[in-house]
Amino acid sequence: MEEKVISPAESLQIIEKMLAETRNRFYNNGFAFLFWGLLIILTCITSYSVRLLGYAGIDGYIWGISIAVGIIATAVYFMGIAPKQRKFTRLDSINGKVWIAYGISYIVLMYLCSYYSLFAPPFIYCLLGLGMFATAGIYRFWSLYAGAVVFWLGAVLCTLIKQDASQFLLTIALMFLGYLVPGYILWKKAKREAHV
Amino acid sequence: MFKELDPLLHSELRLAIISLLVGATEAEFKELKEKTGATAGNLSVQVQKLSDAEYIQVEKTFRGKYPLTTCKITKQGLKAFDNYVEALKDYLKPKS
Repeated sequence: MEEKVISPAESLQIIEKMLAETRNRFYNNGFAFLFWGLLIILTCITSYSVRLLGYAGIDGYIWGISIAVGIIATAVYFMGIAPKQRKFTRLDSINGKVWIAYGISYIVLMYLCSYYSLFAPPFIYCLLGLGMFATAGIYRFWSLYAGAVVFWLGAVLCTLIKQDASQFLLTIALMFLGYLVPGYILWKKAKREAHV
Repeated sequence: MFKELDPLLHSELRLAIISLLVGATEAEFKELKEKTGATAGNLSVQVQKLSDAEYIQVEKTFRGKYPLTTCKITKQGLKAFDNYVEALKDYLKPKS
């Protein structure tokens, strides 16, 4: 590619071609999905164990502490650790905003469900499906689309099973299939392309 | 009246460099060379021109024993690219 006079149409072609070259670059190593998937699964197991021991009343504290720890750990990773290890693109920035919006919506949802005495999980899964779908669209990565479908199906499945310990099993299954599996596939791809 | 296209960006190689960096935020010299198909010498010259205009930032470090040159787009560069694309739209509008 040497210096030559280019027409506006050729300029557009160059821009489109070069942007297309970067569109398939993955800088997302799936950390957030792997971390949150594991965290929620561990929290489910803890919450279930605590209920079996007869301390169902502290369920809310377990989840509250777990989510707070998750948010702090995620913030530390993306603001402190990750920038030293890998590059971030504008797509990563847009994706970050999607999940910040999810976090804010989650907090508002918790308040609404508490106020109206609603069972929260199906709404959370709906939101997760939305977040995963948006991320899938940003990175154009099939496993994230699959994750979105898993969460949406999970939201519906919630209505078909009892609101007891079965819900924990459903949550664990959804976190595994909707977060961990897509996150792992994303991590493997990112490692292969040496962007992490 | 059409807006003038930024002469610094209205060049095949410089536009390719800036477009790549808009998409990737930053890229190594080696990658820019591979993706643009330019010679190392010509790429160096064009990168320097963009750097002098503060459209990109050039960082020279080492990866092990080997020198590593990384180019990163600046806010000014992003703005210049956006202005260039806006101006380009006028040229590409179908004539009524």
